Amino acid sequence: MFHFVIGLPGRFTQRCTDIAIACISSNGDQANAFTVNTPEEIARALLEANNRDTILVASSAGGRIRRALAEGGRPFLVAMDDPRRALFDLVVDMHMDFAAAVREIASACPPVLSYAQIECAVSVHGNDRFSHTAAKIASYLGGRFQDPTISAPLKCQEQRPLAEVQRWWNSLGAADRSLAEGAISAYLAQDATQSHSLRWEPRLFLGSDSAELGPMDITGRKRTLFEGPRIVVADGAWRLTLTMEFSRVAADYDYRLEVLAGDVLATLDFRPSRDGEQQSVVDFCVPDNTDYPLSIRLSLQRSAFDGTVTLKNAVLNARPLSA
Amino acid sequence: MIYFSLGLPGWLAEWCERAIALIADANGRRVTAALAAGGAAIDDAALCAIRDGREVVLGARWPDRRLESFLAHTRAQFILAMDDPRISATNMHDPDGVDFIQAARAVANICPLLMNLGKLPGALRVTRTDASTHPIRTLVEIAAHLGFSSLKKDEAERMAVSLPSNLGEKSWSEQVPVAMRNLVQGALGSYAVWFDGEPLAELVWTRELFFMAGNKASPTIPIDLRDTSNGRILVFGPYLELPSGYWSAKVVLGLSSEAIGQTLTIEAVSGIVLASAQLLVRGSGVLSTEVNFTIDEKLARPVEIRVIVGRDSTPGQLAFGHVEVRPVVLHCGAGTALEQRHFLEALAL
Repeated sequence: MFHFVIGLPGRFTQRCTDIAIACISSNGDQANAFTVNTPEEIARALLEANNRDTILVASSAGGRIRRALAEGGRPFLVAMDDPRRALFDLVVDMHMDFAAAVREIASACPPVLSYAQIECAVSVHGNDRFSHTAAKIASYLGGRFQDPTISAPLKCQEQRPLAEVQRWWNSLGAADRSLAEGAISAYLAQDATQSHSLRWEPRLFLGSDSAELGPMDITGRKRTLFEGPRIVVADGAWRLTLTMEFSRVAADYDYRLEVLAGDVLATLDFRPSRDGEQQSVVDFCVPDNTDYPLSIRLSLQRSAFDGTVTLKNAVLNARPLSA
Repeated sequence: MIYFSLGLPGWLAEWCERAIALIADANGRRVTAALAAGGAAIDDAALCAIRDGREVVLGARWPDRRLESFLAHTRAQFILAMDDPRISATNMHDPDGVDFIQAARAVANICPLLMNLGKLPGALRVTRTDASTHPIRTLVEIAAHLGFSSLKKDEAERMAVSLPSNLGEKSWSEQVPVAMRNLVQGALGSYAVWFDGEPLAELVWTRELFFMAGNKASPTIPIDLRDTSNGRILVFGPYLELPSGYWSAKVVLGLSSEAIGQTLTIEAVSGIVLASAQLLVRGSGVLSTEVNFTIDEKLARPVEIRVIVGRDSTPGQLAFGHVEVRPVVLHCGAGTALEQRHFLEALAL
C-alpha cells in the first residue's frame, strides 16, 4: 500500500509525512517515506518498498503523475504552505544556498498548486492547528489520530509563526529579496493558479563553465553562453522577455535563444540590432505531460574574438492560450 | 510492487506475464497488467501503480539499455522470457512491412542485451522448454523468485491449465522461406543455443545483411572492383551488435583472376575502426581472412565489416560470401614458471 503526498520542500511537508508514518505505525505496520518526482523514482521506491506501506513524497512532480492521479481518482495529500516559510526552512534550518533554495521552492509551487486542483486531492494547510492537520491526515489514511505518545514528539516540530517568517523576509538584503520575490511572489497571491508573471534574476542561471553569471566574455568558439534556471512552471502558454546587454563588438555576432523543458519548446535566432540593453521575446507553450523544469539557453553561433554579454533578467508572463 | 517480465513479443512472453498475474492473484494481490516497449516500461509501470493503486505486472517487450540499467541498479527480481530468437524474428515478419532481413536484424541487435539481462542477479531466465515441458515446476520457480508464498503443486496445476498454449505452433524453419533460413539461422541460431544454457557459438552473417557501396543493395551479385564509392569501400554492413568480449570475424570472399596481385583491406568498425587486415590476392577463387577485435561493454554500438579495395581502377570482380563471427577465448596465465617470472620482473608487477 502506498500513499502520495505533494508539498513544498520544508518543515510542513516533512511534518505531514511524519504524521502519516506515525498513523500507519500506530496500527502496528511499518512505513517508509521516499522522495519521488518522476515516474522512474516512483518505480524505484515501489521496488525498494517491496510491499511495505510507503509514503511517496513529491515536491516538483510533473504532468504525467498528475494525470495518473486524476484518472485514478484515489485520494492523495497536498501539503499547502506559504512559500516564504518553506524558503525560510531551507535557508535557515537546512543552510541551503539561497539561490538553490529559491529554485527548489519556485519549482515546487506550480505542481503543488495544480495538484491541489485535482478533485480527489486532500489539502492540509501550514497555518492550520496541529490537531486539525493530524486529524485530516489520519482521516485520509482511513484511521484516527489520537495516541498522545505519537503526537507528542511530532508536536515539537511546530510550524514557524508567519510573523517570524515575515520579519526574516523583510530583513533580506536587496539582492536576495529581489531574487526571491521575482521567482516566488507570484505564488503568494490568493488566486495564484491564475495567470501571473515571474522574474528570474541572473543568479538563477549558470554560465558555460557552471559558474555564477556575470558579464560573459564571449571570446572563443561557438558554444552555450548561459543556461538556466531549471525551474518548473505551470503548463500553458507563456511569453519570455529576456533582457541582455551586449557590448559593441558582441552586437556583431549571431545568437540562438532556446527555451527547453526536456524538448526544445521554442527557438529564436537573432543578431542584436545595436549594442547596449536589448530585449528578446519568445512565445512558447509548456505541455501538460512534461516532467522537466524550464530552461533558457543562449548560444553563440560562431567563433568570437571579443565582446561581452550580460544577462539582466528573464521575465515570464502567462498568456491566454488563444493569444 | 512492480513485477517486470521482459522478453520479445511472442507466446513465451505472454505465458510469463499471465503466469505472474495468476500467481499474484492466488496470493490475494490486486494487480494491473500492462505492456510497454523499452525503457518506457519503467514509467508506465509507475504511472499504472499511481493510477490504479494496485501492484503492476509489466510486460516489457523489446527491453533497452535504460531498462537494463534500472534493473541492475535496483537489483529488482524479474522474469526474463528467453524465447528462441528465430521464432521472435518469424513473429516479427510481416509481408506488408517487415521482411526477414529486417526482422532478423532487429532481433539480432537485441540479443546481446538479453544476454546481459540474463546475467543480472535478479533475473530468472525462463525458456520455451521450461514453459511448455515443465510448466508446473516453472510456475513454482517464478513464484519463489518474485517473493510470493510458495505455490502448492495442485495450485500450479490449476494455473497451468489457464495459461496460453503453444500447441500447434509451427517451428521457425517451417515459417521461413528456404532462401532466408541460412540468414535467420546464421544471425540468431547461436543466441538460441546460449538462451538454452549452452556456450555462445559461431554466428554467420550472410550476404543479405550487407550492402554494396554502389547501390546499397545486398551483395548477391559479383561486384566490379572499380565500382566503389566513399573511399574505395566495396561492401559494408551488417550493423549488428555483439556481446562484449573478444571476437574473431572471418570474411569469406570470391575473387576473379584479374584481381590477382591486388590488395584488399578488411576493417571491423564500431564507431571507430576496431581492427583491420590486409588481404593480398595471390590467386583466384575463394579466399578468407580474419580480423580480431574487442567489443567493450560500454561501446554498445553495432558492428560493421568493411571490404575496401586498395586503389582506384582495380581490375577484377569480387563475390561476397559471408562473415563468420566467433567469440575468442583468451587463456590467461599461460607459460612456464620461468617465463612468468621474467614477465613479472620486466613489467615490475
